[in-house]
Formats: sequence, structure tokens, C-alpha cells
Amino acid sequence: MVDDVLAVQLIPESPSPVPLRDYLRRAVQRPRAWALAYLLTTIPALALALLTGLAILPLTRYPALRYALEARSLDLLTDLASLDVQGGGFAVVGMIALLLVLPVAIVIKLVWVWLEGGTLADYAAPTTLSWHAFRQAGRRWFAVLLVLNLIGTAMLLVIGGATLLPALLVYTRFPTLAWGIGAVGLVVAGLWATWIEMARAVAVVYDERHALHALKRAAHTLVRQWRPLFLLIGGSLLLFGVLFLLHRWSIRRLPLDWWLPTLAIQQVYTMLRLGIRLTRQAGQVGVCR
Amino acid sequence: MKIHRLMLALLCCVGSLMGQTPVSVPAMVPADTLPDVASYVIAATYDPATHTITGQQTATYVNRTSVAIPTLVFHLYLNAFRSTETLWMRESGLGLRGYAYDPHAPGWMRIEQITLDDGTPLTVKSLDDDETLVEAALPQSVAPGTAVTVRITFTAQLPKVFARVGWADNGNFVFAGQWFPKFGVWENGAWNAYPFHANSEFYADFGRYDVALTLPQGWGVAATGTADAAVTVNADGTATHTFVAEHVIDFAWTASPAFRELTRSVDGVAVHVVYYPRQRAMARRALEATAGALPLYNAWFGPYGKGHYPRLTVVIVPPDAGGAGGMEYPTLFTVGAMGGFMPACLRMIEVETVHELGHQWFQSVVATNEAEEPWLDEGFTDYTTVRAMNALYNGALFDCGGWNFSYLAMHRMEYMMSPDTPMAGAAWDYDFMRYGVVAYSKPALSLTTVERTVGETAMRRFLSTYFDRYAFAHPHAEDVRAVMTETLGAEVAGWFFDTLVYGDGTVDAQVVIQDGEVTLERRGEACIPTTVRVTHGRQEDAETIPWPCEQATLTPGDSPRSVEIDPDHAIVLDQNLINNGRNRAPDLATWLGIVVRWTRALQDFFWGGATW
Repeated sequence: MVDDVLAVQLIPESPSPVPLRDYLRRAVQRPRAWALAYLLTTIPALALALLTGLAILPLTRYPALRYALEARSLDLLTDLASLDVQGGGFAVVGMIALLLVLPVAIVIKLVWVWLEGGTLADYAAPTTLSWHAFRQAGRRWFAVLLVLNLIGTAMLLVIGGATLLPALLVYTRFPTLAWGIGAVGLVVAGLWATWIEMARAVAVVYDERHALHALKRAAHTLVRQWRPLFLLIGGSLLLFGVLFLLHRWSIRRLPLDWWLPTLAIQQVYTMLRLGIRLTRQAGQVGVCR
Repeated sequence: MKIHRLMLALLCCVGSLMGQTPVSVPAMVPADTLPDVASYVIAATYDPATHTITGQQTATYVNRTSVAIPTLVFHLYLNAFRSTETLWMRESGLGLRGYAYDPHAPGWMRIEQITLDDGTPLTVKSLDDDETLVEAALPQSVAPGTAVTVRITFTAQLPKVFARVGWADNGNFVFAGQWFPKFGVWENGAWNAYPFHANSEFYADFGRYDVALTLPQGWGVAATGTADAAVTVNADGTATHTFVAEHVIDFAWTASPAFRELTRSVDGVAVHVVYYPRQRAMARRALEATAGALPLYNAWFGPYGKGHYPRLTVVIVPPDAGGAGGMEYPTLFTVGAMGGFMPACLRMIEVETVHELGHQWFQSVVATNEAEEPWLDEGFTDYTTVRAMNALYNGALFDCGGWNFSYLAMHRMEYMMSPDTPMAGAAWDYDFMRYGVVAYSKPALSLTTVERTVGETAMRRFLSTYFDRYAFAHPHAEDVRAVMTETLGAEVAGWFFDTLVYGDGTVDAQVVIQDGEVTLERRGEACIPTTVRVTHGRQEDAETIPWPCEQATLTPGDSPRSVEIDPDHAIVLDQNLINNGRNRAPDLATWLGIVVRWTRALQDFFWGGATW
């Protein structure tokens, strides 16, 4: 049963169906999830990058390092390994920060799962959720979303292994077959990822807290609503591709020491990419509705 | 049978050319005639069921020295693979380049009969425990300016492929190298011939080969030299293929019923790539690399085979015959030593191809002694490989995901394992790791350093002079030194030979900033003059000054923003190129640039795949 605050806010205000484009707009009209998701990763990433970066600060005394990085050359790796650099305290701080990367990533992933419950509920509600309801939603669907994430990841690993292993085994004798296996694996992985993502939307929209039931219901939705979903996912993929190419093209033209323009372009890219994802999720909620 | 008729015709032909034993040869060789020394007429039959070759050969050796030859010495290289106890096996650890010997599929060779051309029987005795080297005493010495002809009947069994030669694909592929009794080299009044060592390759005289190979019908055959278009079909289900190779130091062949072929004419040379159908992609890459590098080598050193070789064959070995890949023979080389998964951005096929192609100049035509002076053939060839990789692929051995790693850098990594080992030394003087350094990496880096120090024009003058002067000859290190002195000057030849070839000199230039004082230091004995770039203000206004390599302190009070020794990394032998330059203070803008990029990498890592 839906909690009181959530129940009030998730009930549709009118029985008439809301057009899909209205759901898509909610990603922008309700920017809380966007901002939270961005800050959730950016602040720790920036902090850890600065701290780990301290270890390499003494290396910037060597001009060759800059040339190598700008040329994206790995030629001087051996020289770097044999370089006698006295990093002192900076090196220790950098090392500790590097060790923190993995635990921080795990914590962020868990918070992200919590955030996704609130985000999907927010997009599903006729009006934006209160902070209290947002938190409640995060808590309410945390377990099922976590289970779905774990199932999704495990299955992706299985698909990856089942694709890569035979592809590598037959590559030397039948390279075309290997590429074919790889392509099939990629399609299967894409379909699976779509299914899992849809199951997360279904879990929240239909208050389904049994992961397998959510998967089953998501499968029905995928089959029934394949056209809008195809457009939604295809469109977001296309946008992401264009954005990625634009970003790569521009970043590679910037000298290493032009850090401010680099920062601006990279963070705009990151925010836009996040926006594409959240818009797609809002659309998935709309398709479920 | 047709094969016998053909063989008789070949033997008669050679007999009439060589005469009886010994025969006199012209003392003066006309300018347009190459002085062949060791020539062979061979008729051989291969049985794929037993992997054996039975052959009859008529071999002629011309004494072009001033000292009479009392005996004949032959290499029976395949005997190195007859058991796990041979010298070769003990030195190699029962394998080569990661491919293991199968004791159930050994290789060996036996001389069944040997006579002089007039039928006088000769006896052979082994010169080593493994019978990789045998000697036949002659009833009469071969006087200077005369020749001796012997007839040999031999049997050879090929091993399962693991070290250059043998069979694979359940017997459907065969590669035959060092498959017949082969003369040593008579020079300086003695036979230059050694038992087969693991690191050593081969050394032989130039000559003409007339070879008739009989195999099952339907097998495709490729070999050194050029093939007679007509294949003789025999009544017993076999077919005989004939080949002629002139002015070559060896003869190798390969066969399979599965072979396909790609052909292209490159600079007037007919390039043929033979491959298994499933390796078409690899064959195309090898053909493209060959087509790219062959014109470069022609321009840099001189024409392929000095114009005497009309054909070049590239053999892509099947996946289970990787041990036969990456080997050079005159007018033929093999590719496929690395096998396996090979995405286009990983240029192992290309590097292997341009390397083996380079051997067509250095060793196949400039026939240095691979056993005594391996750096002269592998080293020069790997230097040509570096040049070709630079010209064709921007130097990159690996160019994936926007990051690159050069072939030269790979050599630097290997060189660092033993930088102070002199290049001069016999192949067996080194373990496998140090052999890689002295035969491949150090010469490639040293010659690249020479090139970047003297400039491209001077370097090409040196290379083309060396190739032109010693084509179809056996030069030694001192001959190279003479050419280098003549074309590049005594100073360059001095540091190259005294410090790097014969000496244990290393080099590590570095800038040291201490208490505000900037010092240019050289560690190691090698002194290679270079330049220093001093930057006070903007990078564009930097001043470049010569540095004769001695320790120096910049003028007191001068506090440049940045100082770099050898800023263009000409001296690739330098043991650490990073410490060649120093900024007075940490470069904060560069550091922030790194941090910003690292931040986004961390953002991606934290999100995982959740953000597309």
C-alpha cells in the first residue's frame, strides 16, 4: 500500500490520459532529480580528482609529460615508472584518495538507487512531489530497485561472458562469425538493459515491489508499447551519440592547460547526457501510465 | 615419368655449366654477373602422411677465395629437433617464441649417400653431438678458382611446427625451411659453420637453386624464386612443381591444399600472398603493408633484390602454425607468428610484415652473418621497420581508443632491460632476453639516434651506400663502420661503434634544478652531442643552443621557466626521456587540465553505465 503522502500525490488529477510529450517535459520542469543526480557524482568526483591529482603535481615539473598527454601517447610509460620523484605528503594523500575511489563509487551507486525511486515517482505524479514524498518514494522502492539492478548487472555479465568467450574462441578461424556473435550479444545486452530499465519504471508506477513480477509486467509493456518505446530509446541513443561525438571532437582540440574551457565543455556534456537519460525515464513512466 | 625426365634435364644443365670435379671458374667475374658460390639442383618428394621429404641434390661449391678447400661442411639443421636433448633444445627450453616442441613429432635429416660428381663416394662425419653439422673429406682439395660438385641423397622428416619449419593443420600445411643439406661458408681459410644454436639463424653463400617438388595433386605450392607455370601431373596422383631462384642464399617452400592467393604488382615486383581462406583479412592487411613498405625500401636502400628478384611471396601461416610465422627467406617471408585476435588498431600484422620485408634487403641481399653478428641483420632490419612504421602508421604499434603506443617505444622498453650490453657478440653469447636487446632493440634505437642526429638526407646516403656496396656480399661490422665513417663522418661512427657496438656505454641526460641553479647532467658513458631548449617567457620565444654533452651549469642569475635537453627526443637511447627537461615550478595549468579530465573519468566511473 502506498504511503499517505505518496498516495495523495501519485493519484492522477484527472482520468483523461496525459500525452507522452508532457511526461518528457517533466524531466526539465521538475529539475530536482537532475540537479541531485548531477551533484551526487560531481562533488565526490571533483574532490577525489583534486586529492589524487596532488600526487602528480610534482610531475608537472617535467615538460615531456605534458607533450605525451597532449599527443595521447603511452610511449613514456617506462620513463615515468623509473622516474625518481619526491612527492612527499602529496603522494600519500593522493594514494589514500585513490584507495577511496571504489568505496565512494559503491556508496554513490546505492544513493543513486535510492534517488531513482523518488525520481520515477516524481515523474509519475501529476504534480511535483514534496521533498518529504520524494524521500518516502526513495525509501519505498529502494529494495526492489536494488534487486532489479543486481539482476540486471548479473545478467549483463552473463550475456557478456556468453558472447565474448565464443567470439574469441572462433575469431582466428571464423572472424566473421565472431563479429556476428559480438553483434548479437550487443543487441541482446541492449534489449536486456531496456527491459530492466522498464521494470524499474513499472515497479514504481504500479507499486510493484516484487522484482520478478515487475520484470513480467515490464515485458508485457515492452511488447504492447514497442513503438513509443522504440522511438524513445532510439531517440535518446541518437542524441547521446551526437552529443558524444561533439564532445570528443571539441575536447581533443583543447590544449591540456586550457582547463577552464575543458571543464565547462565536459560538465555541460555531462549535464546534457544526464538530461537525456532522465527524459527517457520520464517517457518510460509515461508509457507505463 | 615426367619428374625423372625433368630432373635429368636439370642435372644435365648444371653438369654442363659446372663441369667435372673440380672445375675452374673465371678468375674475374664480369660486372653484370653476380659471383654465385653455392648452387643446388634438388628433386624432392614430400609425403604428407609421414611428413618426410626424400630428395636428391646436386650441389656445387665454387672456391672464390685464395685458399684451397680440403673438406666440405654441410648444415643438417633439422637434427636440432630430433630429441629434447639437443643443444638447440637445451638452449631454447624446448620451444621458441612461446611455441612448444612436440617430442612425438620430431624433425631430423639424414644423408643417405654422398658422392662426387664422378661417382666417387664420400664419407661424412658429424662435427657436433647432434649432427646439425657434418663434414665430408675430399680426395682432392678444391683449388682457388675451381668448383666441386657433389650428389647427395637425403631424407628429412619435418617436425610439427613450433620453430619456423614443419607441418600443421593435421598435415594439410607444410613449411619447409632448412630442409636440405646446406653448405657452410668457406671464408678466411676455414668453414664458417656452427652447430645449430637456439638464438642463431642462418648464414650461407649466394647461388642458384633449381628445385623440383613433388606433392599430392591439388596442393598449392609457394617457394623462393619463381615457379614454372606448368605443373607436371604424375601418374601416381602427385604433381611436380618446379622453381628457379637466382642469386639467393637459401630456398624455402610451403604447400597446402587449402591455399588461396592474392596478387598485386608493386614497383614492378609481383607480390603474391598465400593464405588459408579464413585468413583473408590478415592476408589483405599483410598485402597492404607490403605494398606500402616495398616502395619505401626501394627508395631508401636500393631496388628489391637489386632488380634480380621479379617476385615476392608472403605466406600467411594458419593459426595452428604460428611457430612458422615471422620468418624471412630470400624472396619469401612468413607472417602470423602472433596469430589470434588482432583488431585493426593493433598493428602486429603490419609490423611483422614490414619487418620481414626489410630482411629482403638486410640479410637476403646484404648477407651478414646472423650467427656471429646478429645485430647486423636483425638490428638493421628493425631499424628499417621503425622507419616504415613511422612513414606508414605514424609510428604507432597500438592506436586504440584515441591512445597510441609506438613501435619505437616498445623497443625502448625492451632496451631498458639491458642497456649496457654491447651489440657486438655472437647469437649464443646471450640469453633470450638480452639477445632481443642486442640484436633488435639496441641497434634499432642506436640507428634511429644516428638518423635523428645527422638528418634524413645523410642517413639515406649512408644506408644506400652500404646496401649498394655490399649487395650479394657478406659484410662485417667493420665494413659498416667504414661506410658510416665515409658518409657520416668519424665522430658519428666513433660514438656509434666505440660506445654502443663494442662498448657498454649508456646515456641519460637530465636537467637538475637545485637551490635555484640549473645544471645539465649526463649520466652514462655515451656522449652524443645534442641541443638544449631554454624558455624564459613564452614557448614560442624559446632559445635553442648546442650542448656537447658535458656537464654544464646555466649562467648564475639566469632563471628560465623551463630547460629541456634534446627537446625533440633525437637520442632515443636516453634511458629516461622525461627527466631531460624541467620546469622551474609545477605547471599548475597543466595540472588543472589533468584534474579536470580525471574528474569526468571519475564521474563516468561513479555512474557506471547509467548515464546514456
